[in-house]
Amino acid sequence: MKRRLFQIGALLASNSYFGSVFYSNIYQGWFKGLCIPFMNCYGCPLALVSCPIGTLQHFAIIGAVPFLLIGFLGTVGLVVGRMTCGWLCPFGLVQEMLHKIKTPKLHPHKILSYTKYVSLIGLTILVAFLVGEPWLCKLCPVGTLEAGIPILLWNPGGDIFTQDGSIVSRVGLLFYVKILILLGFGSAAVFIHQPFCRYACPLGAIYSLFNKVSFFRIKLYRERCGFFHEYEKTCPMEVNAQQNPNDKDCIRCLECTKCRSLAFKPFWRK
Amino acid sequence: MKFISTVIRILVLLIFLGLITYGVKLGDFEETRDNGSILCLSCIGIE
Repeated sequence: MKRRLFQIGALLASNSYFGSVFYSNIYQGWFKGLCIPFMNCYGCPLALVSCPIGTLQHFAIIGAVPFLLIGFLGTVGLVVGRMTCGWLCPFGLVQEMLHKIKTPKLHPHKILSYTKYVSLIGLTILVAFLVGEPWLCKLCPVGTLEAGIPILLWNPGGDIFTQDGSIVSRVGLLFYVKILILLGFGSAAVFIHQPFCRYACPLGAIYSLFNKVSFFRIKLYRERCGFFHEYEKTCPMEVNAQQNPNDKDCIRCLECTKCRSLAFKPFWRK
Repeated sequence: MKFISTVIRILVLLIFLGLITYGVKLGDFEETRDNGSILCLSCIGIE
């Protein structure tokens, strides 16, 4: 319940520019210089802050090193690892809600989770650098859900849309591809827990590198509980916390810490 | 061993904080703001 409040709070805090309703424009002020530590499309009409992955691609396109972004993501990762994935990301929340639909669940092999590194290095950095276009943004289901669909529904006629004709009439093939990708991940989320976070999220790939070395981490106390395996089933990312409590796929949702044998603590605490 | 790992972590954290400061000095903040202030319509399939 506490986690849901954080997720909804993060969604509202990062998308609270209601001026777009009155001015038919997106937010262009100071806060857009800040990146948030989770996936949130800055093309959303209500977006107040920037997307770290969109920003990373922009820097790759202009051929510059994003020192500020590297420092920011590194700091967040080093302090809490992938915790923002489990506690703040709105797209993670959507996938969790879809997974609550009662159906038989699938458990793909863990090796597939390495595909998110391809998404990070290949699609986010290399393709943007070589082609000069943000192809991850163009295919990103988060952008479709938070920007593409809302902008079509919003259909503003303000400064940024000076061309003639409605936006709906200018929807191209790419939009339908994006819708298909969103539907693909959405329907996969019903059967597999958080497929985008596991297999495609470039930001999750960055944070996952810090899970084993972060200041705050999950500690295992084998001697405290003999019924651990009951709680192992509650892990949404299917991490075996008894073997590897700080696995790269752990999103630090802390569901497993309901068991006395696991605790979320700074690494220096016993 | 724990002392050494603590020192290494703190050093790495300081490097990251240094990168933030360096990035701000280089104008990364303004670059991020300018990029985020433009709505990329082609990114959402609107031509």
